[in-house]
Amino acid sequence: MKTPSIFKAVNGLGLLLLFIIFAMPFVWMASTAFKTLGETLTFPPVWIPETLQWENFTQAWNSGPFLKYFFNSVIVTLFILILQFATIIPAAYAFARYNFPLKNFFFALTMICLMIPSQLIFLPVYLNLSSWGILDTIWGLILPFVTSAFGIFLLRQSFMQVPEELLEAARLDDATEWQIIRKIMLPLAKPVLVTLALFSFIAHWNDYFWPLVMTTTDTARTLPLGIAMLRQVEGGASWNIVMAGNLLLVLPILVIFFFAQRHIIRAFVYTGVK
Amino acid sequence: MAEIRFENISKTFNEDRVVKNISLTIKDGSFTVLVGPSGCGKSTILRMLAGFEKQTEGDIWIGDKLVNDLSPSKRDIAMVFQNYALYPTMTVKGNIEFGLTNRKVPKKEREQLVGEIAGIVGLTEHLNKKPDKLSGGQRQRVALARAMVKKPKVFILDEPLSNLDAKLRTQMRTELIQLHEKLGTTFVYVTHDQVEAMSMGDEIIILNHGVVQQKAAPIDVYENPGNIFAAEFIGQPPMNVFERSAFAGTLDGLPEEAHYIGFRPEHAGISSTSASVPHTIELESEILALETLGAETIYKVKNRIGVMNIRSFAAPLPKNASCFVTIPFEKLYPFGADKTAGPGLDLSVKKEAALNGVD
Repeated sequence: MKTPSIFKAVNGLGLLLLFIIFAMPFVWMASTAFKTLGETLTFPPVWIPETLQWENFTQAWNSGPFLKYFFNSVIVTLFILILQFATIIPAAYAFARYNFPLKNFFFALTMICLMIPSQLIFLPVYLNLSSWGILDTIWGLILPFVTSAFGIFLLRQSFMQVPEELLEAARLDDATEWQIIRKIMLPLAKPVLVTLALFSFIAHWNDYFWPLVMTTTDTARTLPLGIAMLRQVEGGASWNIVMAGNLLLVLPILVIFFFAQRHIIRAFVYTGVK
Repeated sequence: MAEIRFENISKTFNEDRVVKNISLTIKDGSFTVLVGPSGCGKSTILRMLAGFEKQTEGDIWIGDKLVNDLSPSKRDIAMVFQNYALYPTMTVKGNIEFGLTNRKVPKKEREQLVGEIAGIVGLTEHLNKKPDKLSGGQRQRVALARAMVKKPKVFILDEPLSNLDAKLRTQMRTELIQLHEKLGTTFVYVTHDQVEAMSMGDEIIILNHGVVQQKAAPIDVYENPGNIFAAEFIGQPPMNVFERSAFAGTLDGLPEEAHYIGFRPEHAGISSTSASVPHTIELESEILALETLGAETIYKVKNRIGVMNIRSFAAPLPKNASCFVTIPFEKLYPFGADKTAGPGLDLSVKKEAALNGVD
């Protein structure tokens, strides 16, 4: 049966509305990043700046130790990513494939971690890290995130879908447990791994709250803090500079998303089908 | 090459005793089929042999090695799984050589072995494909090749043909028999399909409720079923078995020990006219249903003994017609009170029955 064209039109309009809602802030940010300060303050707003102000970017970059922030961000995000995988993969494999005493209890504990908002526990964690003397260091930004309950949960689901016979066949083929993980489980879970990596990367690359709590000097500050500080200039915020900084911040994410989106979509299709 | 011995093997899952004190010897180089309905314990026995389950009691020997505490990979066995269990992210070649790589077999030797085996199972041109690009039969061959390449002492096959369509299944059956002849290795094959069991095995082990019902060559199982279960399990349609009382007035002078009497559907005759053959029971019957299969016809008929299946190779009779069913005395199988064909109930009893009977 043919779908009546009225429904198609409504459907199209709905999609267009959603697109505008999601795209507007991006477009606004990108447009503002190229404006002069004057243009940011006019009403009605100018959408396309008269001349593209490329120097906004250099000005944003040069208004603080941004190279330092950038490196801090890269190191923190990468370390979190690596350590998370190092802890998530064995944990998910054990929860999915082994029977051990108190397994359900430990899994419930993991799930509870997923439900507690981080704002609730930041004080004890802060005090803890303070007693270890790693406040205002890179490690203070990394250690609280070395594992992810969400990651364990998602990867466990994916591991559980692998038929048991495959593991038995591999064991007959003299594979060690580590080889089973590396050669059989991980290749099968690739879409989920890509998705997890991306989620983790975005969350920690953009994270504002925790670095704000943890850092007091430029030694460990990350990009989002640097960008936020662009606002704190005398005589009101220069929105064009702030937006230029923001554009620099999200650029790596956009690039990675562009390359990974095929896998991400597959990860969700997988979990939907099974 | 190795003989397999199970000594007083039991397996209990929680409170459930699924394998009950089984002692078995599987001959070196034989093609032994474990057959039985689902839940009979055949897969559990297989998994204990492979080392995926640990028996609750008893010893398992492969050759002269006690394998109770050996991990699956140390038992010198290879297994073909029901769903093939091919590694989906590896190519056919990767699948076949995975075990060799893990055993640190040098690359050159690996290449040679894989090439050799691929030639035998006819996969040479598919070596670089992933399993999802192969047909069911080809996947089956990859699973076989993966098992063969390790040159195991024992091949374990867990319902390997049940995922194939009927035509391919028949073809693979022949191929497996030929493969067994070529390799000469001990094959242990699990199936619930009695046709596979009869056509492939040189020895059949019939299991039910975790107990061995009979262990014999296929033709022996057919001709001399050890008990009612074996009699009803092998043969299509199954043997007709009735309590002794059903034969009252029809067949007198049965020995005391014969508590049940059975006969195979294909041993009975069916005809529209009475023939009064000596040493034969003749029963006026009504045809309830019939299946015409071309070469043969399977009838469901009702008479004074009860409802029974008759298999006939003659031209089909019309439905709902009345007819005469004849059962020769010598084709009757008596069973004792414990449902077994005991030593006091051998075939000579039937002749005696024939002499003292209605005739």
